[in-house]
Amino acid sequence: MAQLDDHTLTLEQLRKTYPTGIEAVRGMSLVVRPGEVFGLVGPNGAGKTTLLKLASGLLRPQAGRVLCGAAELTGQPRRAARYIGFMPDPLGVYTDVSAREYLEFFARTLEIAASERPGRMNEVIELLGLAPWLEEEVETLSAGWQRRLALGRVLLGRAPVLLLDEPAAGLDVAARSDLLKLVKKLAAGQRAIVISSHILPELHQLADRFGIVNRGQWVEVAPGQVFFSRADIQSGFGRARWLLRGSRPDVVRQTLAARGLAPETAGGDTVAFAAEDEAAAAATLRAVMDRGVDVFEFKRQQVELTDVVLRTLLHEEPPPL
Amino acid sequence: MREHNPLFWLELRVRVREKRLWLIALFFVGTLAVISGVALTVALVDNGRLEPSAIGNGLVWATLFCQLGLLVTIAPLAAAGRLAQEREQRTLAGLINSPLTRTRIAVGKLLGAWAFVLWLALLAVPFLLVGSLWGGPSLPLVLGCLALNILVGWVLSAVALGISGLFGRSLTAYLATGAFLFGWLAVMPMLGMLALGLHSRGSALYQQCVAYVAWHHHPFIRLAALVDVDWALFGRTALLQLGYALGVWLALAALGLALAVHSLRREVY
Repeated sequence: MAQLDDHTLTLEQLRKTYPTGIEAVRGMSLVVRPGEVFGLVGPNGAGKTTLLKLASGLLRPQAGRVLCGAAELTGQPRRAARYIGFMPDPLGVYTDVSAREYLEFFARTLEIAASERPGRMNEVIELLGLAPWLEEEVETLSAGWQRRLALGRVLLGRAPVLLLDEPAAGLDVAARSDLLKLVKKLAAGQRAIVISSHILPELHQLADRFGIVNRGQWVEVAPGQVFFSRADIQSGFGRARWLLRGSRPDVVRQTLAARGLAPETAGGDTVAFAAEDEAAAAATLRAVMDRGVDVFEFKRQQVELTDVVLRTLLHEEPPPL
Repeated sequence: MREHNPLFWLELRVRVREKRLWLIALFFVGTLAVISGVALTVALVDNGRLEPSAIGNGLVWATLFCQLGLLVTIAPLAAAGRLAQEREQRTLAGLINSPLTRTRIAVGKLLGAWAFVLWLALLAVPFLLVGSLWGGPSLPLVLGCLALNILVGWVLSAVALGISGLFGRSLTAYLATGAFLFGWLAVMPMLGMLALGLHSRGSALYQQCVAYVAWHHHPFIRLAALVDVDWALFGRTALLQLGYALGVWLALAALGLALAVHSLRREVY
């Protein structure tokens, strides 16, 4: 069994064109290191699932390579299974067996030795809180528990890399929160994790780094930058936006313009502007107050992953007519 | 030591819980019980004038043909959707993305189907034993016919599994399997008859060729041939025909398994 160190997932210039002629992935590369959670974001049909299937070996790329550490896994699902645990979407579960039988079946499938199997199963059952549902038929479990069970299947193999395609789809708020905690726990165990999700607020909390995919390619979020961190989001990629609400909005706008800052209306009397850093924002505030404006509110605008994604995709793709 | 094939393990668990399979078995045993009841009633009403061997023979042959009919219908249908269903319910990715080889996956599925065929076949054993002991055919002949039926069930399971691998929807796989069965068991003999009828003055070699192509591999014809066999005269021709049928069946089974394994090489989209 692979050790949980030096198992960096490396995707090199992957290309995949389906027999229908659709170019799903067009030269995408990615490196995810142990202990890192990478968030894969993009609209439907962008190529996220294809990228994960290429990474898991289920699909063979026309070009490019998949590596885990030094092990070459390109188009080799059997070999990849030792390094990569893949939870696909849509989720396929055997519905006519009990939860215990489901886990036991995959423990056998993963060729876990009979002596080691009960311990490994118990570990997963405890981690996922599956104990109360073990004797229930999978068919009768809620979507959330079915997803947990599928995650259990992936975890049984103790693979150093996890690929989770829409793990939170169809889950309620509480189940999503549980999943968040669980993935954080798994990442703390030095696994490299790639999560594709449309539920951006959760992904924002969960991932260390993000990448936006559209039309089979990474999309630039800033000039020359395709991957970004939570810190990048907070800093507005080097130009955080500030919100200022004062007694004379017209004077505020004039002051900002005089300092070379482009003022924007941010609802009501609030004016928004982008500043390089906190010092520049403070200097601008002082300049506004020196012009006799009473400042009622001044704060850095909270930026969410959703804002970044929407802004990037809107900028990248012209809106439909 | 390598453990049992996990797919076989899963198939057994799933099949044991399928209510319809128990209903089929109940229907089969019920049919055999009715046949036995009729035979017994005839024997009692007939007031001892009927030869006991006639009752024994009737019971054994009725059971064997009934069993072959059931196996020819149910065995392929039970295997027909097994791989297509994996694609349909999106569970195939989990199997392909595991250390299991494609051959082990296909063989596990096939063994599950074969276990079901064996179980259905063994349900008839008490009736066959009673018939054989009641003046019916000899036990070796009965067991030979039973083995033939099981083999046919296994062959058809393998073919159905192979067909199943070609499709992404189990309904399509069922329809294709049904079409294969209809073609083999009904259309081929009819075409043979047509070929002989249209060219009735054909040479003996022509007639032999038509017979081999159209019906010497037909399960019911082979079973009927065993029923009528005169062991004293069981010569080269009968052996040749039986050997030919076995060859065709084994080739079909191998083709089915190869198709199933090959189908697992397809990418999982």
